[in-house]
Parts: sequence; C-alpha cells; structure tokens
Amino acid sequence: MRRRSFFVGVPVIYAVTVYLALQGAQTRGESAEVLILVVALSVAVGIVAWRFATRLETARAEAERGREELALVGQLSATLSGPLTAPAVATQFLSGIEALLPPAAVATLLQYEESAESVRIIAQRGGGITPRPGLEYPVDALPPAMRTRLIGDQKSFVVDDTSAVPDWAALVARIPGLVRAASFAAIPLVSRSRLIGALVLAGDRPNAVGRDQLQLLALLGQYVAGALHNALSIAEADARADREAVVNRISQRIYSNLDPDAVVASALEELGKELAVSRVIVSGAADTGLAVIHEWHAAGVEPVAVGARGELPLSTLAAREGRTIAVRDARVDPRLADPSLGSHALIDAGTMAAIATPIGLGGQLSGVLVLDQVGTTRAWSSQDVRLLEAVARELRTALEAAQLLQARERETARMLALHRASTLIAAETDPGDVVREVLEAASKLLGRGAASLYRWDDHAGVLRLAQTARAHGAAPPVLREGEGVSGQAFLTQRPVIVNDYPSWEHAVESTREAGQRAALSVPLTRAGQRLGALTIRSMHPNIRFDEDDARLLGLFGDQAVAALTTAELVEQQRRAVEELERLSGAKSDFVSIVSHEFRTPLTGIQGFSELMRDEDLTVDEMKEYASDINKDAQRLNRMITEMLDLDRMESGRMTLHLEPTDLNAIIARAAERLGPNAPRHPIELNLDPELPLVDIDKDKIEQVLLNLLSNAVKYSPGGGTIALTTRVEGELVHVFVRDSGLGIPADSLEKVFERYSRLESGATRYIQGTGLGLPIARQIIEMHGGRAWVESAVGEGSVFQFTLPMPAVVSVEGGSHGDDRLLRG
Amino acid sequence: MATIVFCEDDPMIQKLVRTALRGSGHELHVASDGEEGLALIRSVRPDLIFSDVSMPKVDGYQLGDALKASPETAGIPLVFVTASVQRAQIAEAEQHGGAGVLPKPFTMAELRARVAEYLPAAG
Repeated sequence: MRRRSFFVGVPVIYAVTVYLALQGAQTRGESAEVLILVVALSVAVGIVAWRFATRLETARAEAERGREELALVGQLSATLSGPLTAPAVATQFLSGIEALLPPAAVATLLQYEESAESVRIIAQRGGGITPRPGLEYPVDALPPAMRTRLIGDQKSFVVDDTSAVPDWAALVARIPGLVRAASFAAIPLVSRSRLIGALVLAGDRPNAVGRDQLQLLALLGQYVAGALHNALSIAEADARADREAVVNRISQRIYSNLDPDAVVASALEELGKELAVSRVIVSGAADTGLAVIHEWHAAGVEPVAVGARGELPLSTLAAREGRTIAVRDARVDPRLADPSLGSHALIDAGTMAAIATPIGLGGQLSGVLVLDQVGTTRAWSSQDVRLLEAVARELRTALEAAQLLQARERETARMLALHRASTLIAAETDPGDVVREVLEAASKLLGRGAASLYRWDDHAGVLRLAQTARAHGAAPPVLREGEGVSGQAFLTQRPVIVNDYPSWEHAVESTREAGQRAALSVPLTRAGQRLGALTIRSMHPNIRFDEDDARLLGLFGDQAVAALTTAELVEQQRRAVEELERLSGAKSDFVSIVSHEFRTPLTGIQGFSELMRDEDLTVDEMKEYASDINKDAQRLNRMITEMLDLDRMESGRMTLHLEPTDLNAIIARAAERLGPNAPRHPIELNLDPELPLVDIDKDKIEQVLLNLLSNAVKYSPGGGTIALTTRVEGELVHVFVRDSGLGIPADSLEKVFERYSRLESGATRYIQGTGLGLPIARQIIEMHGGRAWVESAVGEGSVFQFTLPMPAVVSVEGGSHGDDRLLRG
Repeated sequence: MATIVFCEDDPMIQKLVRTALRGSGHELHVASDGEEGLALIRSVRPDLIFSDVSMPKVDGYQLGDALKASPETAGIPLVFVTASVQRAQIAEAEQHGGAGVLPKPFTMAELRARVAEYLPAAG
C-alpha cells in the first residue's frame, strides 16, 4: 500500500513541481535552461529513488527470509520438545523443510538399522506420491558408491543429474522410487558419531536442489539427527525393557524348573508368541550336521519334527558363521543358495523369512535357535535380533543342563543295566549260559542289534562263530584275521567302531549286502593270549556306536572271557576227575586183586601151619609142609616187593646200579631158580656164547627175567618148554623168552604191559597176577635204554623179548664201576 | 561116604585141601580149572563142590552158571571160595548158583565145618 501510494504520489508531486518550475521560468524568461536542469535533476532523483527502493526491497526480502528461517528453527525446536516418536519427529521435520524443497521433489527420511543391515522409511513427503513409511530396503540394494559414502564415510551423496550416471536405473533397480529421479541427494543424519539415518531427496529435474539448500538441509539434518537419536534411544529402551521382561520370564522358568526339556519348550513358546512367528526351532549339533532337538509351532503350522536333519540351511549358515543371520525372503536370499547348507525342503514348503542365531559360548556351539515365518516375508528388526540373541543366551544354560542330564541318565541307565546283567551273569553256572546272557545284555544295552562271540581256532587259523544272540542270520560263521569288524578287532587287538558299514573297506560282502549299518567289536584276550572277539551289529540307520559303547562292550567281553575260562577249567577239572575216578577205580580194582592174590599164599601158610599144629604128622610130612609154607611165604614176599617197586617207580625213587655183566650167566641163574618151581616147564637155553658184557643192573635184570619166566609158566598152564635165547643184533643184545602156551590176542599185546591191565576174556582172567610184573619189567628195560615187547598169537604161545643197547648206554657222570641212574617217572 | 570136588588152580591150596580132608572119610577130587572141573563133576557126580572164583579157562562163576543150567548138576550144593566176602560177593555167589561162600584164607577147621554142613558124617 505504501509502495503504491509512493509510486503514485511521487510522480504527481514531480509533475506539480515541474509545472510550478516551468511557471516560474516563464515569468522570468529562462525557460529552456531551467527546463533542462529540472529534467536532469529529476532523472538523478529518479535514479536515486529507484536504487533506494530496490535496496529496501532486498532488505525486506532478506528480513522476510530470516524470519522464515527463524520460524523454521522455532518450529524445529518445537518438535524437539514435542512428540518423541521417531516417525513423528521425521514427519514434522519434513513438513518443516517443505518450503525449502522444490515442489516436485520427494523427500524421504530413512532410519539406518545397522544390525539388520537395512534402511527403513520413517517419513516421506512431496512429489505427489503416497508416503510409504515402514518400507524397508536391505543396505545392499543401495548403489555401492552411495553405501560407501553415506554409511562408510557419513558424508552426503549427491547426484545432480542422474542421466549423467551410467546404469543409474540398474544401480537403483531395487528401489523403484529412485529410478525416475532426475537428481538425487542423500544427506547423512549423524548423532554422537553414529549414523542414525539419512534425508534423501529425489528431484524430478536435474539440479533440482541447489547447493545452498543442501547446506541448509545438512545443518538442519544435524539438528534432527539428535532428535531422532533420542527418540530412537527411548524407543529402544522401551523395547529393551519389554525384551528383558520376556527374557526374565524365560530365565525364571529355567532356574525354577529342573526339567530342561520343559524349560526349553516353554521358552520357545514364549518367544514364538512374543514375536508372532510360525515356528521356533532349536537344533543341536549331531555327527552329520544339525538335528532338531526342540520345536514350537504356531497353530496350523506343520512341524518340522524333532530329530529331522539336513533341512535347516539357515541354521547351518548361522552355525558356520557364528553370528545371527536374518533372512527377509528365503526364496531369493543369495546366501542360502549354497548347496552345502542343506535341503531347501522347508523353504519350498512355505518358509519365507527366518532368522537364526547360534547358541554357544566362546566357540563351543551347543545349537542354533531359529525363528521361522511361513507364508510371508518379514523384515526382522534389530529388536527381534536382540530378543532372539538374549533368549539364545538363556537357552544355552538350559541346553547344556539338558545335555549333561541326558548324558548322566544314559550313564546311569548303562550302569544299572550293566549291574543287572552282571548279576544275571553271575547267577549262571553253565558257561554256555553265561556267554548267552552276556550276548543278550550287550545287545540290549547297545542298540538291540545282533551280538556274536567269535573264538579263535588256532589250528585252522580262523575265527569261528561260537555263539550269537538276536542274529538275523547275518553273522558269518567263519572269518579270517582282519576280515569284518570281528576280524579287524582280533587282528589289531583294539576295539573297532564302524558307523558307516556299507562304505567300510574291510566290510564282509555278505554282511554288507544284508544291510548292516553299524558295527562294534572288541577283542577278547586273557593274559596276552588272543581268544577271539565280541561283536555287536546293527541294521538300524540311526544307531551309532561311540567310545563309551566300546568301553561297555569291553566290560562284557571280560565277562565272556571269564566264562570261557571257567568253561575250560570246568572241562579240565571234569577230565581230571574222570581220570582220578578211573585211576581210583583201577586202584581199587588193583587193591582187590592184590588182596585176593595175597590171600592165596596166606591160605597155604595158614593152612599148612594149622595142620602142623593140630595133626599128627610124620617128620617127612612136617618137612614137606614147612617147605610149602616157606614157598608161599616167599611168594608173598615177592608180591610185596613188587608193590614196593611199583611205589618207588611212581614216586621216581628207583635207581640203577650198572656194571658190566655177563647176561648169559644171569639168564642161566634165573632159569635155575625157576626150575624147581615149574616142573612141567623144561627150560631150553640158546645163549649166544659170543655175547659181550653189557652194563646192567644185575638184580633188576634178574628180576625182569624171573618175571618173564613166571609169566611164561602162567601163560602155559598145560606145561611146555620155555626157551630162553640171547642174540647179538647189530648194536643190541636181544633176549627172547618163548613159551608154547595160550598166547595173547593181538589187541592185548600192548595191554599186558599196562599197570593193572585186565584181559577181559575169562580164559586169561587169572593170568595177570599182580598186574605189575610186566609193567615193572618194561620200565627196567627202558631205563637201561632198551625196549620190551611181546609177539604172540592165540593158541600159539608167546615170545616175550627185550633188547639192551650195547655197548653200555651213555654214563651220566664218569665212574668206571657202576652208574647210578635215577628212574625218571 | 560122599564125593567132593574141589576146583582150585593154586597147587599149594590143592595140596592143603587134600591134606585137610584126608581123614574126613569123603572122596576128594581136585580140578585145576573150571573146564576140568566141569568135566570132573559130570563124570563123578559129587555131593558137594567147592570152587575158587578166579581160575583159568573157565572161572568159578562160569562154572556155577554151567552147573545151574544143567538139571543133573543144578542140585549139587556149590560153595565158592573167594578172598572177599562182602555182601556183594555173597549175592553174586548166589546169582551164579552158589549155596554158600568160604572166605580165603580159611582154616582147616572152617573147611571141615563147611563139609560137615552139607554132608552127613562118613560112617
């Protein structure tokens, strides 16, 4: 108004002034010069006035702007002290700077989530688009240059003209909003050295945003960064409080409940419901990767199933990398494309988003905790991550407790079972039963597979299947050393554990074909002697054997060895008892025979002496009877001597006194002694006169001869010639005693030389006499280094004979006269 | 006067028996083994038989069985002379047709008493 009136008023006043001036000039007659002067003055005044007006205008505009800026700052400070949520701060900020922005530009405030590696739109404005708060992009969707500059260096990233950047569209392909942008600027919002977010401007034409404006925005950005940071911190603190509440609930459960399984189950449920996911899975380390140990699933969701393996690629990745991994969309996430991570069956079945964190401490992995979302993708927030990690920490304790408890239970169960088995085994007396019990118990404790005991046959050089329990026909009956688990255990004398039988190099073909999956064998030894092997086998795919199992089987093996040893000892004892009984029987037979024999001469002695005492006898009769008594007494004496000889032989106390002797003379003397006692048995002597001296024990050899002669008499009860012959044969002296009596059956030719031998046929029942004569004779001959035997045929008489070495046998310790040699057993 | 057969292989005891029964008034025949004894018994038809158990060829029990088997000889009393006289032996003796057992060594008195047991005194 003032301006207008100024511009209207001034010309009017000027016109009036000029008119008045002209009027005045006319009256004075100086009109032309005055007119020029007035015009010049007018122009000068006009210029000055114009300049003055412009300057005023500028000042006013500046003042205006200053007021506006002040207003903006005022507004911002209002927002600082106003609402505290980040979106509200952002929205207020954007509406506050709207005036600074070109109308068609789109301004977006992004929050940077470091742990989730993503940026999220908190507020958006301008450009006529619909704001999309909450929309999230992974960091790697941003162009690399922008990432480096904005996130790495925390500096502004400006592209004045996107058409000047090659592949702009390709670079921002994943952020559709930027593809059409003609110019672009991203201003970092940094508070306390931390990148909180960014202000992003997308212009519709190049250079839409001027450098000055950018500077201002950057300045204002600092301001709002602080506000955002506070807002976010508060939000974070709230979230942390919530989280801690959840975690506290969970840890309270853990410490108040002794059942780790129940604890984990309720923790998973709590977590699952809090985060509204489809499944919460805890998997544990198994031999071939991870297997599901615990699972919670929301209603309507298909469980993965405890025990499942190999279908958890994200868990495997998290375990491998040792950190939390969040996957927004499992179908397209490149990290899950690695085939070594496992099957994608779950992903194919509907799992779209998942987040996994390892449970463990300092490299010791106890397991992996996974949240899984079926049916929709999900952008995991850092809250989610932190809650998950906190629960994982709590779970670690519970899992470890569970594992320890499980291990202890297993151990206890084993000890109990072992004790029970031992009791059963100890109750068995039959070694075969013991082995059977051992096999049964071992099988029960070690996976209920087949159990087999192999024994080493040293003779044939193979392992033989001695006993088996629960076998399904797959135990090979014979194994070579090194063949199969049993053969290997026997060969190496160490336990052998094979958990993948089909691909084992020493597998037995037939067993592999039968489908055996795992086997465990321990060698059986006793005092260093290899006895065999004890083996457990399993067809079940889930059964695996470990060192503890080998130790347990070893314990059973010891019992089996004990049983086998007992069996052997029992057998030995049985045989020994049998032998003793046999000997005892033989001895009592002997005793009865001997006493029978003794009684015969005693009858004579007793009888004749009775007669002499009671009857009236002639002197001749008396002499005769006395002689008879004498003969019988001598006979009795001989019997007793033989018994004593036998005893001495048995206890190894008989000695020989060797002297060079004329054997023929000894023989002749023996014949002479026999003669009167055997009137029906004439003796024929065929003695080699060239017979050299032999080193013999005179008395013993005479004993032998007398024995053979009396045998000859006994064996020819009907009488007959007895021929005595001596002969030199090479290095030996050969002596024959031939009778023409009953003869001896061929199968008894050796038996007659046995102690207490009995010839069963009635005809020869009497002939053995004391049963010791011939055995003693043979012993004596053999002590001299000779041999004694008989040739005979039934009905054709017998030829008892012996040889003596000549010259004399090796003397033990020099000495020209006689050698004393101890009879050895 | 009765006839007695004594089967005994030991010549000493044969002599002893002969001497002991010399004055008994009975006729005594001695055989050296079971085979001889059997023949003798069959030919002589004694009224009493003594037999040692262990003899060559045919022993006492076999003799007893043979005698029992034949009706002519089954009724003749048979006394076994044996070293052991436990119940088992007595039973065994009976099994083989023995009427009694005379233990060895025997006194003359015992022998004569046994004879008197089975035979009436000679006239």
